Formats: sequence, structure tokens, C-alpha cells
Amino acid sequence: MFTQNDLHSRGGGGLEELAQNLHAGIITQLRSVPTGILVDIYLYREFENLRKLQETSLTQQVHKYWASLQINKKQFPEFIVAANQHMNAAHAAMVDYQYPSPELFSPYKSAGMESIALKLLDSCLTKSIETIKDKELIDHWAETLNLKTLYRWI
Amino acid sequence: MNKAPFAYKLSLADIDTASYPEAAKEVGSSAFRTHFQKQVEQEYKSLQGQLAVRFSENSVDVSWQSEENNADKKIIFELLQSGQINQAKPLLEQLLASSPTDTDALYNLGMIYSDQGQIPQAVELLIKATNEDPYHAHSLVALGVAYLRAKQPDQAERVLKKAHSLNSDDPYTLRTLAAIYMSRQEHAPAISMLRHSLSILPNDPISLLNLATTLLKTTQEKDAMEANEILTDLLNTQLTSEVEEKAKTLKRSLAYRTFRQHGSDKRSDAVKYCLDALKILEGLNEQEVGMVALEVAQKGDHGLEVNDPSTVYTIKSFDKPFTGLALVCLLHVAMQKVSPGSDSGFDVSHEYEEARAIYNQNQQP
Repeated sequence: MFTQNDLHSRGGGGLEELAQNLHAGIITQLRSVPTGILVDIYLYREFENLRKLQETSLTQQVHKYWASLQINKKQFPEFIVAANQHMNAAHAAMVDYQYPSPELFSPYKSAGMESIALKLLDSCLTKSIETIKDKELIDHWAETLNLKTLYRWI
Repeated sequence: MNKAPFAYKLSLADIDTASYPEAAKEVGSSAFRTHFQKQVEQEYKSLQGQLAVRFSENSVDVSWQSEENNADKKIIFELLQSGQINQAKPLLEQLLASSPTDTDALYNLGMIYSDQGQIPQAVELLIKATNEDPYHAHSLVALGVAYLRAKQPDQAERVLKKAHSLNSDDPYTLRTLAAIYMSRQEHAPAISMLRHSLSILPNDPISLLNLATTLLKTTQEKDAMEANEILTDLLNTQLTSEVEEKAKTLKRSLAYRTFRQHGSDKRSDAVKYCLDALKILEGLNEQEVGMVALEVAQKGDHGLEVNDPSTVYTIKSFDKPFTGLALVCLLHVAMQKVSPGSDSGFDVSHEYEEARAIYNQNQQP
């Protein structure tokens, strides 16, 4: 997940370097957010005594990543910004699912991201996490977010 | 769990109006704003607390904080205002754990850490406070003070100048910037800043003390006279023990400087007063001499007019008037009798040695 500051700090050099940084950033996010959601679901299920800590930590993350809604879309490729914001929205939807609180997902709903974000989250919830394969899950998210052409598995 | 306060900003252009009534679909219109506000209020109804929705030309800010959060803060600020710092400290730490971006908590806890010598922690919190709110001038000043305490004057100057640009009349910014100039021996800008600070907060003891200190660094007689007046007035007010001690030390050093300027290396009047002291202490046992020293020290607690022979003082131990210089000589002699070599705070040791030689010579048959 990243905000506009992250995007700027990653783009310190010329256009090519900016493109490489954007590419690396969005692929890292794609690689980590869906699997991270599975980890958070696992932690919630298995470690009841950690829930208070988890709630605080995840809520802080959601509040922090709201800043991605302020990214100036004119400065970056629109589909990259949209993918970034929708992944943040899916993460917020997961936190709201585990620890319901109306503010968590609300900014993304106002910005019209509810449908896609919930679809992304749904792919983490419809099967038992033990049976979900990371690669398939990531491919599914990439398909939904129009990122499929940006990477290949090796 | 006390819910952490939160805030976010949305660009109006990003708000999805697909589900809005037709009349409210025009982004930025009055109906649009009303609809958005009602929708947010409805969504956050279950949270209770205080919700604020503020529109600007192109964006909207939504913020919320709980009633408990306000109540906690109220208790904490009451403790801080009544000086119960150690009671407030754990509550602030608790508040910060649940609300890590709360500027008030960051600022106040940063101040406490700084005052208690936990400088790296203070700097960390105060940087966070200034990141959260770059226009929080108090946090910038507190950060400047923490940098000064960390002996990083350049960093301190940078943030204090930023605070100064936000409010050029803040006395705390001015006096802290003056402290940087003082540390660099740049007397004129320090004096200028302190005078500006005192024009806004005339009775601020720290600015007064620093102004007196800086005035004494110049070679101007008029500055020394002004410093003396400032210190005399300051010592007649209620001060913290630290400021009081510094003011007394400064006043003593000023009196001593004037005393030495008025005569040669060895002042004959002080020799005479030391000789008088040796005579009147003659025959007293050590405990009685100690009592005299104590009484004179208490008398001189707020400073004696050492350089004005027309001002006289009385003490219970002896039924006669003393000038200020006579009293400091009496104190010096009494202390040397009880504890030879000790510092009486006003160095007349050369005069004392000469007086003692004369006294001993007179004692010989």
C-alpha cells in the first residue's frame, strides 16, 4: 500500500525510473495485500488473545491508508492509482469485517469503490484459507484490477 | 476500548453520486453537500461522539472523536494545568497508544519528556506532532527547545524560525530564538528578541533573566545598570527555585564586578571590614560564629547593596548597623573561621588575608 508521498519518494529520478518505481510498488502491493488479508484472517481465528492488539494495529493502518484517496490522479497512470486505492479499500473492508466500525470502509464507499473492493475481499473469504492458493488469489485480484499484463510468474 | 479519533479528506470530484437523488448529483452544489453530510451522519450515528464535516472548494474533510476522548483530555489538561505532571504523564501515554496521531497528546507528552530529560523521545513525538499539523506553532517551539537541549542549535534554529514565520509575536518562540543567539554570543539580536518577547509578556521571568544575562555580556555601563534593575525587580517576585538561584548568582556577580571596578586589586575598605569582623567574632565559639554566618547569609538572600555605603542593614547578632560590604566581609570571615577555604559567594579572600595578618600582628604582645 502506498500514498502520494510514497509515489513521489519512489520517483526520484527520470520518467523511466518513475515508471519502474510505480511498477515495483503496485506489484509489491498486489503480492502482499491479498495474502496479508489471509494472514490477518488466520491470526483472528487462531489467536483470540491477540485480537485487541490486532484491532488497534489494523485500524491504524486503515486510517493511514485513507491518504491514498488524496493522490493526484493527474500525476500518475489512472489504472495504477485505481488499483492502489481499490486494494486499500479491500483491506479496509476486511478490517471492517473483522472489527466492524462504520468509519473504516466509509470513505471508499463514498468514492464508489464498494463493489470492486468487496469482490476482492470475497475471494479471500469464500474458501477456507488453507485451501486458497496464493498464486490463484493474486491472479484473480490482478484480473479484477486490470494489472494482469504487468507481471509474469517465474 | 476507547475509539481512536480519525479524519480523512476526499476530493469532491471523486465522490460517487450514482445513488444520489437527481437534485444532488451536481458535485459541489448545495444539495450535493447536504446529501453527503446527511449520509455521513447517518453512517456514523452508531459511533456517537463528535462528527465534523467541512467542505472547501474542491474537497471535504470528515473528522470524528469520541466523547470519552474529550473527557480523557479534559482530565489530562486539568492535571497539567495544576502542575500534576507525573499523574498526567501515564494518561497521555495511554491516550497516545489509542490515538497515535493526536496532536495535543503528542505535543504535551513531548513537552513532558523534554522537561524530564528524555530528549530523544521528546524529539520523536514533537516531530510527529509537527508532521500531523505543520502549523502547530507550539509544537515547533517545543521541538526547538528539545533540539537546544540535545545541543543541536542549527536544527533548533530551523524549526524556531518556522514557528516565528507562523507567529512573529509569540513570546516563547522569541525567547527561545534569543537563547540560540545567546549561545553564539550574538548579543545584539538576542537582546532585540528578548525585548520583543517582553513587550508581549512583560513579567516572564525567563526572558527577564536572559535579558539581564545578555546585558551583562556587553561592555556598556548602561546595560549593566539596566541588568541590575531587572534583577532587583525580579528577585522581589515569586520565582521558581532554579530561576531565583540563577538571578541571585547573576546579581552577586554583577555586584562583585562593580566592586572590583571601583578599586584596586585589594580594596582597603574591605580590608577594614574584614578586620572589624575578626574583632567582633573574637571570643565566640564555633557554633556562635556559624549562627552569625547563617543570619548574614539569610539577610543577603535577596542581594545586598555592596557598592552603596549609604545603605545600611541591621542583624540580630550585633547591635550596630552594617553596610552591605561590611556584611559580605563579615560572612566571609565567619565562614573562614568555621570552614577555612570555603566559598562565601563574594570573593574578598585577598582582603581577608591582609586583615588577618594585621589582626595577628596586633595580637602579638
